[in-house]
Amino acid sequence: MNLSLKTAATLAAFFSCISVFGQTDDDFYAAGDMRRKFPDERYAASEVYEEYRFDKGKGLDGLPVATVEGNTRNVFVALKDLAYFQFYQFYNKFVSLKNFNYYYRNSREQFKKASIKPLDQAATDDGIFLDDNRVKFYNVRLNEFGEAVKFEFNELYADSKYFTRLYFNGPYPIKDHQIKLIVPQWMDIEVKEMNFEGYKIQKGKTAEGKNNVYTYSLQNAEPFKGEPNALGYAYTFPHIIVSVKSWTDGTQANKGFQSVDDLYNWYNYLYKKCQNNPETLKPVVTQVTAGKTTPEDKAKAIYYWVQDNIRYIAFEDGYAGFIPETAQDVLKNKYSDCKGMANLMTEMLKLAGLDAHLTWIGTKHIPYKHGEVNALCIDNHCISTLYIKGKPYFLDGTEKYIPFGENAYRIQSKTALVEKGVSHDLHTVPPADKAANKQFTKATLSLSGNTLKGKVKVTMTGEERTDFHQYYQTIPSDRQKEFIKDFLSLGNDNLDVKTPVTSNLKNRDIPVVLDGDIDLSNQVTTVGKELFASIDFFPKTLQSFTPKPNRQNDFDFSSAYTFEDEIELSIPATMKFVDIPEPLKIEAPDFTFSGAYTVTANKIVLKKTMSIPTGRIRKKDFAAWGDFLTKLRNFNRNLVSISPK
Amino acid sequence: MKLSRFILMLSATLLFYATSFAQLKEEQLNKLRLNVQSFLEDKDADFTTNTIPTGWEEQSAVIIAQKTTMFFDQKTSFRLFGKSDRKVIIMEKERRKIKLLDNSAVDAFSELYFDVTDTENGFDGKVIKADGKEEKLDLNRAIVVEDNSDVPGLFRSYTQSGSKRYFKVPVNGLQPGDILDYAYVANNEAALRDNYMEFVPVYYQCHRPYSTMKQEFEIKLDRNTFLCSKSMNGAPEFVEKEQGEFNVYSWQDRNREKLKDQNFVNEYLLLPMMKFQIVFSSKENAGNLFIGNRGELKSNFTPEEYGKKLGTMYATMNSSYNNALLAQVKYHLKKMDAFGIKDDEFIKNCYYIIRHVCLMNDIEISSGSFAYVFKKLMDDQKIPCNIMVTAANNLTALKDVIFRSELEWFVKVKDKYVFVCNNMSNLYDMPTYTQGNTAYNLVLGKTATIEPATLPMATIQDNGLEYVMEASLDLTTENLNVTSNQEYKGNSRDRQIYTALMYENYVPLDWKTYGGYDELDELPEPRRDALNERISKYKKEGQRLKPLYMEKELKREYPEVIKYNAFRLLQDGRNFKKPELKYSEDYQLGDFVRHAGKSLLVSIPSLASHQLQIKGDERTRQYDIDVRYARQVKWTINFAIPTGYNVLGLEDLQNKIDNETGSFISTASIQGGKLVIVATKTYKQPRIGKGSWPSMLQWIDAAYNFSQKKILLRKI
Repeated sequence: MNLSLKTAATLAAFFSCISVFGQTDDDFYAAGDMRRKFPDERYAASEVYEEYRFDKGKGLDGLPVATVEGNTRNVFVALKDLAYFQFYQFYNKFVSLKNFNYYYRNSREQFKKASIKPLDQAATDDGIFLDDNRVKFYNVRLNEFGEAVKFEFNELYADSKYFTRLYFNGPYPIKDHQIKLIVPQWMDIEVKEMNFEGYKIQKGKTAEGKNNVYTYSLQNAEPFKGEPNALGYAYTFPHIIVSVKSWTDGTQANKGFQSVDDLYNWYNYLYKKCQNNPETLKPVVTQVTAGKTTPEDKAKAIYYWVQDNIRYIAFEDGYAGFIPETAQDVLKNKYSDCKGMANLMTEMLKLAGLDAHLTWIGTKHIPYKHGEVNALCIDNHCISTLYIKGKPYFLDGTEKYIPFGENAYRIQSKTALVEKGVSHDLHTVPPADKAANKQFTKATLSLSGNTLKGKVKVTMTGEERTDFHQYYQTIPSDRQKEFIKDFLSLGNDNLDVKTPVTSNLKNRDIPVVLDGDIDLSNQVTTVGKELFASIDFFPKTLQSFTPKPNRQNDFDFSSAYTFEDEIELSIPATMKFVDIPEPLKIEAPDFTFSGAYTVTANKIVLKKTMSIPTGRIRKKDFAAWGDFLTKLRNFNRNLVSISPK
Repeated sequence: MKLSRFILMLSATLLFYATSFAQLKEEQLNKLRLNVQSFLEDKDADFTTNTIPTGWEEQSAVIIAQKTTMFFDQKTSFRLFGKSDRKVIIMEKERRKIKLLDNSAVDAFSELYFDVTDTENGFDGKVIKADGKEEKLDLNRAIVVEDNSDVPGLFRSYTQSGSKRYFKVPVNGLQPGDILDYAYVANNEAALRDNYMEFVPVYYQCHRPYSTMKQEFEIKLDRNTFLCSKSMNGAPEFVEKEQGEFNVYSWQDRNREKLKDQNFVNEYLLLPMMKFQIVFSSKENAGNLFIGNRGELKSNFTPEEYGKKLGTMYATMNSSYNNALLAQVKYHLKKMDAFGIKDDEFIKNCYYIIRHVCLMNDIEISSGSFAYVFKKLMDDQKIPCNIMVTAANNLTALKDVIFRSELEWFVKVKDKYVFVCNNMSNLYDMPTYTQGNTAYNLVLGKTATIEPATLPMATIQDNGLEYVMEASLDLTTENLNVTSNQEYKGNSRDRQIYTALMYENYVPLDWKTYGGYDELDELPEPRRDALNERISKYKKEGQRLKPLYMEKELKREYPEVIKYNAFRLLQDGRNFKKPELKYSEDYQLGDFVRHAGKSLLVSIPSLASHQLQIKGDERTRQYDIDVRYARQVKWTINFAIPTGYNVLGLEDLQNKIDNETGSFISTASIQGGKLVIVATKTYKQPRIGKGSWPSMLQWIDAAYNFSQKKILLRKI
């Protein structure tokens, strides 16, 4: 072989992207139109067509169920040269995926089925040991603007309970998204329309033969963006939630999900498949509750034991994603998922003579409440509810180091569906007292040459304390002292902490208190006889929460909290403070700040309080929030001027 | 319960299994247990204790004992027709007993991984509770690992080869304070295609992530398998345990504290470490292999042995692979009409054409292949040159080389050294790992010999790095507008060049760096045009991605990058005549300004970013210091003084700390409406004794404190 040609061939291979695809005038038109609307995107769906046909079948234990068969077509066009993406489709034991095919345009500008098969791999979330979620996907490369490919696939939901939500948006812009539900007239479904406001979604319902046909369509749907600190898409984007309410099979009437009662009955049906053997738990319950006499003390002992001794390792294969592991297995294994932990805790509490019940709940990722939506997508978590003197306590075994009586932010204000045999209770988990989630930092400094010396003390309560424990208790014990020093340096590299002291960090019920002597260097600038001191040495700027111009989602802080700082600087009697910074006070429903410098003789005190009382900044408030951040930043940029008297 | 998900980034390269959620059958589990039973239940005294030494109770975990055994045996299956099937059968076993003292350690060992590829593999274990009660692992819950890159190194065998199938199992009943005792048996085999086979060398540091009471290797070898091993820095030695049909060697280490992190430590050369390699050879003391006589535990080679072996190794480089490479290079030389030109030009062309051929063929050339090809080209042109070897000084000293893979081959020509090229290197570059090394000059002949030599060190100037920054303050936004011109030389360039050339279009233009010719011209026109169009698209895409990439890089240096405006590559540093990497960036930075009344304090010195800060325990030094190479970094910052302001506070910016280890010198002055800050930080020596650490801290501290200073802008 001619060596030079060989090398050139290698060069060719290096850049080989020879297109086997073609495009039509329609593709070009669609691509041009979408490029004008979405100039930053590299590809778009010119068409998404989803059709779901409902029918009847047999489900778990031979029970009658409604089934759903989906046929979907997606056509993609490149909006720029060199567009790479993956087209993927998830499936699991409740929804099978068939005929997932890839089509390209041939030389006659027709779509031709490619002979390649999709790749297939597990799609288990991080933190789950095993589940049945898998994904099939194609890697796609579109070389030229206007190039088009098509995908088609069929889905079969063997039980319509697991067919819940349909979104109009996708990870890419969609020029035309059509959804069609074909429902036999002997079946009654409910379609809940969520977040439709502000979107021009066309909808219709017609009778076609023996079917009722529901249609929805949206044009020019913007893509989902992966944004940090975002709540779930269900808060922001339009979607429909589909529930089969009832159907008849001959003369037999079958009930689907018409109310929260039906949802509960299904959960409870699965829960009853869990064959607990409480006898095996007795020794450990006796041991854990030894010496405890009040219901609260017994409950606390059991709650903390489960938090501390059961690791989160989840097996969620098929119905195992819905039926809890038995309490005896969880106890033996010392690991499980939320259902298993809740089940064990419930059984242990019962054995201790307490009134405990398994409970289904949706975390804050899910915006719906029981009663307003009757579909499985409302719940994604399981806890235990304990009644003491009629008051419900919500115990979440997966929430490590949380004190008894406090609820994790992720379940606060959410509805909890509590097992009560043939009936159920519905409660709303109370939100935390906003003032309770606080980090209070007090620093007392004096000027020593060019160094600020003194003490710092940090007190954490509520969720701030729990967050601290959740991190601290999982770092290697031989690094914990170092961690405390790092924590007390408050993110300031120039702070040197000596002799740190802590509260009892084995006790999750009391506030976490850390304090130590500090030397703070490089905070004083000397110009002649004047000094400029930065006593606001650990400002919280929240810069990572600055909204970008096209941000789609609200900001989620994962907690509602308050930071309170008090910093005091003393100077020699021969000196005085000049140019005292102006105070700042801002109040809005979702964010507040107050900060002021006060001088008394040779002492200046900076007091700051910042609160995010709802843990959420809404998109409609982004302008005010941006202004808040700017003002906060400007306040944080103040130095204290010191000069001779 | 199931959390919904919508976005998943997928890797197309992952292995996948069509059968999902695969679990092992009962008979497979029984076999796994049975195959490891005798090893796990071995009454080895070190595994019988459950007590850890006083003083280690506060640690995260303590390894009570761990033992790794390896058994190598050649097997030949004779065939009536055709070649015999020859292979080395390897059985590796490992048992680890570890006390888990906290949640972190429990999390780390919450799931165990094991290899089920071979039917004779084994795995089992148990949890020993504080009261001595034992709980067996529940292997019924083991599931297949779909992506082998998920398997932590701790659970991979040293001798594994080929594709593997792993399972993972959650450890049942595990709580802090428990002892986990588990073991695996992994069988591997390696097909023998030659008369020898070298297994991957093992570099084993005695300090482990957890303090260790006892650690042991036991290696059992058949007659044709050889052990080479060396222990350094106080590590115990391998000893011969048995001789006969099989030779057994043992290595044991006791009561070793856990590994501690420290800056500037050349771990392989300073910390206690043992290294070994297993080599199969049908011939003892084979000339081209680093082995001894049959049954001999080889730890050292005499200079004569080195000479002979290096000579034999060089002779075996006359391979079809190397000669094909040589032929490609010669083709280019001939086409360029480069034979017969001046020696210096010829040397240059040879180097860059080898680099070009490797680049275009996506070859990472070995130092041996490079040296062979390069010397052959010199021989063709009758330019005298020598083959030399050294060893990477972050791996081993040349005197401690006992594996062939530790050798770095190079060529000395016209009193200069030519090391193996990479995609970014230039002729006569001295890689960091060679500087100041001992080397051997290989004198080829009937019996090759070696002559020791010392390689030069790069100078401070050779590795210079210079920033010239023009900065101005936008008084409205209080952001800093910066234009930064950067120039990197020598080893400083080597560190930065991959970042700087990311998304740059240097591959199709590589031929220009040595005055070659465009190979695309040799292609038929339609093909060439198509490729040129494609290259043009990649170039355009690169232009889009480059600023995004550089902005991310910049964010590592400065806390608040407001905007990244432009990147300009001025000189790509891949050229003999212009080996410096030069580029310029425009960007806007925030958070540089503080207020004091109407005055502004601006952190201009922090433009000299990333100054090392040494705090706490690191201020006392346990080990000698290795900063890899001498260098000087220079910052010239020209800050335009905003109209209506005076600059004050320059006194603190004047520094001069200069000692034998290095220096930090800075000046600040007003020149024509600009504040001019010039700072240089110099690492004078690559390797410094730990006793000089206080001297080094003086200028490291000075540089850090300088970077924290502010200047005062006072309203006129």
